Amino acid sequence: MTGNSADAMAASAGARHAAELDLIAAAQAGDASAFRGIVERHHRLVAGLAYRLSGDADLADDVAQETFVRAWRGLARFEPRRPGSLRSWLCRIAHNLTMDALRRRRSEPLTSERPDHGLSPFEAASRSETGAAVRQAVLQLPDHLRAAIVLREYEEMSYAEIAAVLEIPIGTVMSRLHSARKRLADDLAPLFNSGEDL
Amino acid sequence: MTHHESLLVDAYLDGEMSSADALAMERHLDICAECRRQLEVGLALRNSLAESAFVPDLQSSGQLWAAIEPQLVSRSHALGVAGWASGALLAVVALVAQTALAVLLIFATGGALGFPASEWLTPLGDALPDMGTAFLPVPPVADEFGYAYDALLVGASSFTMWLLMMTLALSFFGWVLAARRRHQLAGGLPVSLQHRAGAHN
Repeated sequence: MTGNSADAMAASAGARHAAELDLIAAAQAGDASAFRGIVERHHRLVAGLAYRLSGDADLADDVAQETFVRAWRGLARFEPRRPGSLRSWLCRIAHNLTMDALRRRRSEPLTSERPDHGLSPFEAASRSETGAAVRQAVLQLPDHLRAAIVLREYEEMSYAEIAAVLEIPIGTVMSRLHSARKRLADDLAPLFNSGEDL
Repeated sequence: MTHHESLLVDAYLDGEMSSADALAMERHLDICAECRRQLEVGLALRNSLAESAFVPDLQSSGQLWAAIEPQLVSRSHALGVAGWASGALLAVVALVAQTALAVLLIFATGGALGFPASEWLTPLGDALPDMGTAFLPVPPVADEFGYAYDALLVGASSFTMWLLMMTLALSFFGWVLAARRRHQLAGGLPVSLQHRAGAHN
């Protein structure tokens, strides 16, 4: 990467952060249209996280709604200390709500059973046998390991961000990620051995 | 390979190392088959997870906003209602307290006339001979202290009236704040004008 492109990326990130700070300040003052801007920026992240933690699209929609309602209520107390604070905060709310919902219905095994209606060929391909097996293996992980691996691999968060979302030390994040990867590798070993592209 | 080394391989895989540490790790990977194997498994796992990254047709941001917006407005409305309700409740409590205090003092002192309760309530006089001493440490000769208790009664009444007026004022203030909040939520338009704006859109 050249120095100029790195500078341009940093400037772009700075501008995004400044725009987000403006949205937060306006929403904190009660501007609903600014809050809608926040919803539009982060709804995919929030709903996607809830879906990947639960494997349930309906629950993910409910969690996304409740996350933003709670965010609206708690926005006055929110302090955006650094870039990404809002994203981490929303993910923390969504994570906690999802885990609470899963605990309430713990008797049911977690499965990813959304009907495949209306899928494009690309989407259908992504729901291949390997993809389904991997999703299922992720859903079978213990809650604390699943949260760490989902935030890292699907949401591409740094260790520091994961630590902020889960409210745990970075060392614990590293340990959980390692345990999750080891269990996934063990659970998916048959796919390794059958020569599929794992 | 130790647990610590395993964590370092993960940190390298996740791009969480400084440049210097990453270079040192690359040199280590050249000579350590076990760490190299862990890195290969980690990369393969990452590819598989990327393949399973599909998320089904969740709500669009528009659908999501349509679902949460009424909850935001209704919460504000609920705050206004709660303000009025709590104000009304406090007012009722203040009135009941004032009445109870007044009745208690009248029974205890015989009121401004200075009669003991037993004489004031003539029909019940025999049944309630010592009401005053039963409720408050009032001396047997009530008329010596009757005016002091009357003054206390007036003071208590004034205080409760003041409390009543304050609760009503706070209740109204809460309603004004809630109305202002609803106004902001409606995008700057007063609620009463929203339907007109909708008709123009």
